[in-house]
Amino acid sequence: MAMMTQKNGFTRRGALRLGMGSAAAATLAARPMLAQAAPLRIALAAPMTGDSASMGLNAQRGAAAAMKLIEAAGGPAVTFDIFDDMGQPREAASVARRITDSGDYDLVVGHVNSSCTLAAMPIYADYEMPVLCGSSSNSQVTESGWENIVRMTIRDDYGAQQYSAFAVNNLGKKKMAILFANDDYGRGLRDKMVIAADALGAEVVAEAGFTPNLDKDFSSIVSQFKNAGAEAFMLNCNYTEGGLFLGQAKSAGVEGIATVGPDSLLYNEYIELAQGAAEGSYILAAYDPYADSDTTRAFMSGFREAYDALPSQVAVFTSDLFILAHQLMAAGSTPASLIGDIKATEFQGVGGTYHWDAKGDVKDRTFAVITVKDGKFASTGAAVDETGLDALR
Amino acid sequence: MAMTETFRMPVTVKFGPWIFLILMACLPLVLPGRFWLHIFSLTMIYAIFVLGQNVVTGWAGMLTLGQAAFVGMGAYSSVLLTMQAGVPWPLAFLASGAICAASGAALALPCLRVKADFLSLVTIAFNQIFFMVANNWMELTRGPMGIPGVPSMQILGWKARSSADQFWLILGVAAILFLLVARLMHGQLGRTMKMIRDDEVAAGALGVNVTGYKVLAFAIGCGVCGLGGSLYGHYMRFVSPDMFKLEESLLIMQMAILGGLASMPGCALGAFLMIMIPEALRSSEPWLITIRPGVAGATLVALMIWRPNGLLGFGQMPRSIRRLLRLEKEARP
Repeated sequence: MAMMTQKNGFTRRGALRLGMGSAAAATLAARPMLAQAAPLRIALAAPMTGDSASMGLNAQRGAAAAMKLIEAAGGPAVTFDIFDDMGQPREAASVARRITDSGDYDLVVGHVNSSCTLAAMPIYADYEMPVLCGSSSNSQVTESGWENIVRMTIRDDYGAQQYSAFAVNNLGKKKMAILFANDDYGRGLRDKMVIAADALGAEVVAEAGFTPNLDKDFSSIVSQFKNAGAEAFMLNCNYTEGGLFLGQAKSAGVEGIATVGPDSLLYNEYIELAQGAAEGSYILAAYDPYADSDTTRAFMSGFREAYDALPSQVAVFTSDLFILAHQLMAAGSTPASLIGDIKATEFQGVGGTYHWDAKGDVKDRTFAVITVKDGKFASTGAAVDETGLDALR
Repeated sequence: MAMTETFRMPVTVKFGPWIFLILMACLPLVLPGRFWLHIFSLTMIYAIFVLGQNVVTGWAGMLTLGQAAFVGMGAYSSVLLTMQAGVPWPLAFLASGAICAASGAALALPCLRVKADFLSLVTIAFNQIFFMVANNWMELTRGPMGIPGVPSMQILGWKARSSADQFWLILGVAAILFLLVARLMHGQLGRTMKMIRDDEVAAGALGVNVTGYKVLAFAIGCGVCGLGGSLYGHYMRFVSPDMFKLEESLLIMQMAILGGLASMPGCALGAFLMIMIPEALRSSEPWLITIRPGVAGATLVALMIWRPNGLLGFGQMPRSIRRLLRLEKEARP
């Protein structure tokens, strides 16, 4: 397959700036790493069509944003091709075979959906292809014995513990009601949340699963949660359902109950759909878009300027993975040594500081606590109080 | 009613499938790389699903839209039997076929009370029920998280590790299934099914046990899908409920219609085209990514306009091609 560097508004501007930075490039040329003229070839596997297409779009935008930063930084050139897995395991397996078989790629960034990553990993493992995974949070991704993968996001089981810990330790709520999307993500989170709540001495007084992209009426769930005496709503769902749920709760007169959710709520539509009821709710995000760091601020403003949207977790992690791979390859890593080198390094990216354990999971990372204040997202700067979680790990 | 005319099988029909099989078996030796082998393996697995669909819809004339449920049932049965109960794969493979055949027969009984469009609705509902059960029965299926780490197919200590091994194994299974179903459908059973399809009342009036044959068609069709499902689960090495949604049933149906209902080669052709067209269009070009999912649907719409009985459907092949393949000697009087 012909190699093609992605072109869109973001990279074109980047390419123009590259011209201005030619002096810097001349300096870099003296470095020995440029002796290897071949570019770093990345296969970006993401759902570009289908139910999860918005995540694929964010991955593409994250990659485009990273390309701009990479071009500005100099060093080895990077090219990437997008492979659409449609969010389906069968397609992901086909994509994985296509990527590995072509011999055209040094590493894979992806997939997004855990089910796709799980279906594709046996194939990548056979070929010892390095896989840099952003957002697949199912614990099996790093628990299946594959040595060729690292990931950025906090895995479901640890994440779920933090959600429960935040509600119990930080907010002091002992009676939780869990609303969860009945998919691999929502269900996985729910199971571990219940265990963590139990360990922390709290009680899950009510819970309800719904079918994503189908269920839109949550009024019966609202009354079920209310009657159970819930002190905290735990929302394991996307912004659409989360916003609708809060909006319908407000219409039913159920207000002022503490709400905690994941960063899939971190879209303006969540605030709009909730009709004011999202005010004061907490979102535990795998990265802090409002972090007090120059890297994050530059990325956020560049992304907003280009797309008029807040980058999702997928965009940030995809971008960070591109930059991480580029930095390490510039420092002399080879595709064969890349995963080992990543596990031995500490990386400062847009999403904060990352370092990894032997399995490929990020370690010592806790969620950033974001709240809705005056109809806008804002960082609280608070940290999740993990007291009592040691027993579970 | 005795058939007095002696029937001589055209030479293309007699030897064609065997030549095709030999050519297919040589593919791993000539195809560069493993990707295209994967596509052909996937095509053969889907051809098995389409074969199951065709027994029910093509030969017996019942429009069902829930075959993915039986594929899923076969996949889950086989995967759970091998992983949880330690049953060897060949036994699990046969068991999954038996489980699906029994479930198919059980579904057929209430289904026979409804006809045509309503039968489709009942089978769609069945597909949804299967999805919901697989998605929610956490203890058995791990729910929406799926079952990773499924062992590869293994026969008496020989494990299909390489892509070529898997390809040959799937080819062998597919060949046997096609042969068996062809024997059945070209024999008394198939002719009776066609008779019921073409005129149920007349068949009943001639003393044919219509209900019995319909249940049998369901059992065979669903059993074949179950066997295919077992191959699918162990080939993909991962099963999750969203692999067996209604969309998958529609895809299998599309393949059957595209290839031509009640056509043996049509099963393979339909599966081949519906797997190959999206794969050939897979690209990094943004516009191609956008239109790719729609191409299969557009193909089907075009086909329905120009060749409503499918590419190789009964009586639809142009006469010139039929003569070329020696399927027909002279224009009939």
